[in-house]
Amino acid sequence: MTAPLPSIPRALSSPHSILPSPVLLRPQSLPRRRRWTPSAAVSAAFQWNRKPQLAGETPRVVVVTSGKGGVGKTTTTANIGISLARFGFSVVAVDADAGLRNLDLLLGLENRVNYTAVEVLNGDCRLDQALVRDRRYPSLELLCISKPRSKLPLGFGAKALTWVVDALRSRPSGAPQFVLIDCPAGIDAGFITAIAPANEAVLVTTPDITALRDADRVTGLLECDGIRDIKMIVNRVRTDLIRGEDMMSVLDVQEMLGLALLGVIPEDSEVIKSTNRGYPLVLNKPPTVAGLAFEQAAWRLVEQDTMTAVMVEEEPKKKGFFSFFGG
Amino acid sequence: MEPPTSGTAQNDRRCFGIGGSKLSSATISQDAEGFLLNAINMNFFDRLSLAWRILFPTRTERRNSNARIAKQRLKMILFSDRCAVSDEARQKIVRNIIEVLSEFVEIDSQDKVQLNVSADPDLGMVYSVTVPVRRVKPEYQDSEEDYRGKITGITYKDTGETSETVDVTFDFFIPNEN
Repeated sequence: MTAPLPSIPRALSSPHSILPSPVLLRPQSLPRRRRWTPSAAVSAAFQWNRKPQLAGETPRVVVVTSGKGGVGKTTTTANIGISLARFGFSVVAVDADAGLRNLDLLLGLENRVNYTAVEVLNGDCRLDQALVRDRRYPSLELLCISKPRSKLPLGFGAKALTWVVDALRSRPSGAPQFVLIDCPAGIDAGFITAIAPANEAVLVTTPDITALRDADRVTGLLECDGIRDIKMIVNRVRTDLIRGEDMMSVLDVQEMLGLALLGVIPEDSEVIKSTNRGYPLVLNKPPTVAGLAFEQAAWRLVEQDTMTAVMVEEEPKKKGFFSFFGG
Repeated sequence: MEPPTSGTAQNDRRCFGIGGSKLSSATISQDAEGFLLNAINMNFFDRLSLAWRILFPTRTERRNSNARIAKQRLKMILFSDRCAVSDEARQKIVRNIIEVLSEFVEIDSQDKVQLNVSADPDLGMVYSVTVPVRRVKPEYQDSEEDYRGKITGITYKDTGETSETVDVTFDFFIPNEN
């Protein structure tokens, strides 16, 4: 009895899909195929039924924060949200920035946001009317806090957001398995609002000195608030600059901040292109480097796993015959 | 022979062009122009050694690399950010420590107690309190009774190998009866 084979050849020919991460190569029972027996690496990449195993109690409320603006929080939230939806988990992504809204742009859902959480609180609409379901992956829903044209909603605070998350938890259609909260930049009222309902945090940072200083400050604030489970994603990593000793390496970053590492995302111009199109990066076929990294980070988030950074190979030291020349 | 340059060549930094990434800037900065003008005016051997130094930097150049400088600065900044203890916390710490220690020792003067916060590369943040002590309280002092009968300071003037007598001086401790 053979399982029906989907169209394989295109995936086989592109080199990217044969780049499985160590995570994907975990041995599992192969589906039976009488006619065609693929090699281990190829079949590991084709196990489309595989899901990461959910660890921790549902719903897992994760806040994606960074302190400094522009390091990639919203991009991370969008891509990890879509990855989780693709794995089959039910995700609600909340854009906790009450003034400036960006998560809907990254997901390509900006035209379909009619109601927001402020209207739910006022009683103008129901909660499920304010949730925008993605057409490609229906297990992902987006909730925005307020309409950008309206006056700044001074009434939306920590209690309001906690109420919203509790309402999601106890809604009739079942609690979502993940609630991803996209935090606004800074450490003022918006930040405090966003971290209030969260149990875990994903800290997004880049390897430059300004972002790291702010990330350290945010770590202190998160621990004060009671969130102990903080994991780090290092974004916009340029290995060529690291090798040339112009940028701090991921090992340095880990040593400075002392946080567990969830993922390392290389700098990729595809991020800008996918933002402009409104098509999240992880859905690109063939997958890009950054997209693969986001997907691995999402996998690790589900399983509450962490990774360890490796040292970038240094230039070998040339010594010896010509060293009198100034070496 | 032209020294190797990349899109962002700078005078004192090691630079190597590996085809240039898509994201490097297209224009050469003024530093690079000055560098090139200087380089053209050098003679052959100067340029050769400059090229060698660029491609294979010495250890001191590596120590001054941007990543290391950034790491040093970040360490300093993180330590000074993290160890910002408020003044009232400092006073409370000092007061509590004086209270606890007064049970065991007599403190010389309460104003001289100092709290120092410093950063140690191995231990991290180190809080040290210096307390000048006048003396230990009597009930916690080492008991002199332990020394009763103790013999110390033994010196042999004659060990009795050649003559048949032994000449020894020693101290024998008897505590004061008061």
